Amino acid sequence: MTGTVLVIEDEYGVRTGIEQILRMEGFEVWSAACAREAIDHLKTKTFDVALIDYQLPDVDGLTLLHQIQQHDGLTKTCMITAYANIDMAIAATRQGVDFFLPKPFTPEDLVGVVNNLLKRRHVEIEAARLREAHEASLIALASEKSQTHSLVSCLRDAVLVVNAAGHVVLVNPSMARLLGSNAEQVVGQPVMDVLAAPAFGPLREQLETPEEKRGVFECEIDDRAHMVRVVVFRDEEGTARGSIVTLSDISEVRRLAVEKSRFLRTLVHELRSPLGAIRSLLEVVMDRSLGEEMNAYDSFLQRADARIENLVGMVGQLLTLSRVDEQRTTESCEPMAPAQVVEEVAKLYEDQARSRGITIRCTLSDGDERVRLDRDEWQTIVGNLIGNAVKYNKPNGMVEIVLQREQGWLRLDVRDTGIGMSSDGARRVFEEFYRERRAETRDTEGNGLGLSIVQRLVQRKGGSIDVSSVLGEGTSFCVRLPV
Amino acid sequence: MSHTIVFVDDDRDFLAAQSAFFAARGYVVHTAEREDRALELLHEITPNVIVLDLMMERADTGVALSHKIRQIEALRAVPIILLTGVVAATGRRLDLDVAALRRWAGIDEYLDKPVTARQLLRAVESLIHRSNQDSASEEA
Repeated sequence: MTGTVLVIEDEYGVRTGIEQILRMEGFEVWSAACAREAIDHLKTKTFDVALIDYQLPDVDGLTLLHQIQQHDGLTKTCMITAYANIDMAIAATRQGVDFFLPKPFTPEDLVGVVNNLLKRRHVEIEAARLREAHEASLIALASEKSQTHSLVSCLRDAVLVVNAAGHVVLVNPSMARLLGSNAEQVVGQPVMDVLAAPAFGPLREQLETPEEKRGVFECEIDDRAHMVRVVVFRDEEGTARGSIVTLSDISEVRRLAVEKSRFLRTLVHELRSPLGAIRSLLEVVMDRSLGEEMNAYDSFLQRADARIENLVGMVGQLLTLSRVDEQRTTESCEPMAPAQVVEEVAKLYEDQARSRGITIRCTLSDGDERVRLDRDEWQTIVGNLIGNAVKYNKPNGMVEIVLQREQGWLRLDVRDTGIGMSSDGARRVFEEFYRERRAETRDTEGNGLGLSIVQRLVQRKGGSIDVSSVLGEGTSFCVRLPV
Repeated sequence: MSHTIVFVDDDRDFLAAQSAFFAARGYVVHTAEREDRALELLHEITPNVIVLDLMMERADTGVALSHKIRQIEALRAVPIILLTGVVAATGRRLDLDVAALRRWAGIDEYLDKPVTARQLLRAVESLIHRSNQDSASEEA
């Protein structure tokens, strides 16, 4: 075994003697005749062992011992003394000296002591290294644990972990909310007690079901639909250590599914009615219900044709609706003048309006100013609003169109003096297929899709559409688009 | 003796076509486009069959109307046909508990729209036949 040894001894003969013996054994030896010299060495070198003479010319051995220990707590120390008096031994031991070597000593004694001390030093260094490594891994573990904890804590899904004994070991805040208690109250409790509420019945059953028969299932908690999964977790040997329960709130997905199915149901009805009518109208003709004179069937065939025309229009509107939903409209977005489009569209409805004595009045303060807006989409918005204002107007009524700029917004108002809507009608007017069924609307063709399309177009552009209506007096729509 | 039918449906074309078809077969046809008009009509006449559309002003107008008709003494035994719908692909009735409705609203027959006039005719004839038998056995 080799090592570095510092020898502090004021007697020249003893010092060189020790040096020689240790060098012969292969040790690296540094020596000092006084404490000051020893301290100088300590500044440049780390020593495995220090042999200290008790009586030094400058300071006493105990003081130097203290200084060496301050410098490197792991340096092994040995006090060399001719006065093996008990008081000094007690003081040095208290101060933590590792060994005493009373003079006179044999070279074997010296080498034995130094080797012994070296061994201890190596053991202590190794122990310190292990301790540090252990501490480091504890810190890493703690930080990993805290990361996992934060991760689980901020999950929107509710998580509950049960150990093999059926006790809850972890509950995240989402789960605690569902349980209506805080995590501390729950951890350590039997899971069946924690999940005692009736809403958790299906989950309790699942926990009692053999693993291979478990599956994903839905369960209603606090009026919200949850998808529940129970997964067994295993250790490296494959032994089951417990279960992880996750509950994901799928109310929104459910709501969309319900909405979609409602839409489909309405669509089926909206298609079935005209189809039924067309079929009946044609049956009358095929059946020759009115005799062999074909002129008698003209009105039936005309009505069938008109109903088919309406269906074709509706199919087109449905396609537009799905395009808007999928954001697949062709957004050419060439700069164009919105006022110009309003004027053109208003002109399209002029004949229809005039035939019922309705006046269309445009106030387009926006002028020819151009903005980046999809021309087709703007046309659809304007067309639907003006079309409705004419369609649901009263004879000799008025349609007022105002287009203006309002602090970075383009604002279109379309007001009519028509039949108006009930408050329920105004609230539902943007729903697909919604039409107020009243005597006044009986003869007006429509499929209730136009305003749904308009609303979606406007909202997709970051704009808004508002409606206000007074039954029997008229309706006004206000569209705001960012430009 | 000719039979009388009342059609209640908010589709004017459907009513016009059924009127022509059934009139050609000797039926006396009355139509109503709205619930209130139908009730007015049914206070005046007692038809042999009533045909109701399920969805009119509301999604369940036909059912509610049928229930009201059954409260009228003279109409208690008049057969009622409800025109409704199924989703063709699944064959499942979407929104009706048939047995419960039969009890509550006294509906005798359900037909899915778009129904053909011939299907409707068959249903009407068989219901008239049945009610004739019922009244004959009651008299006996």
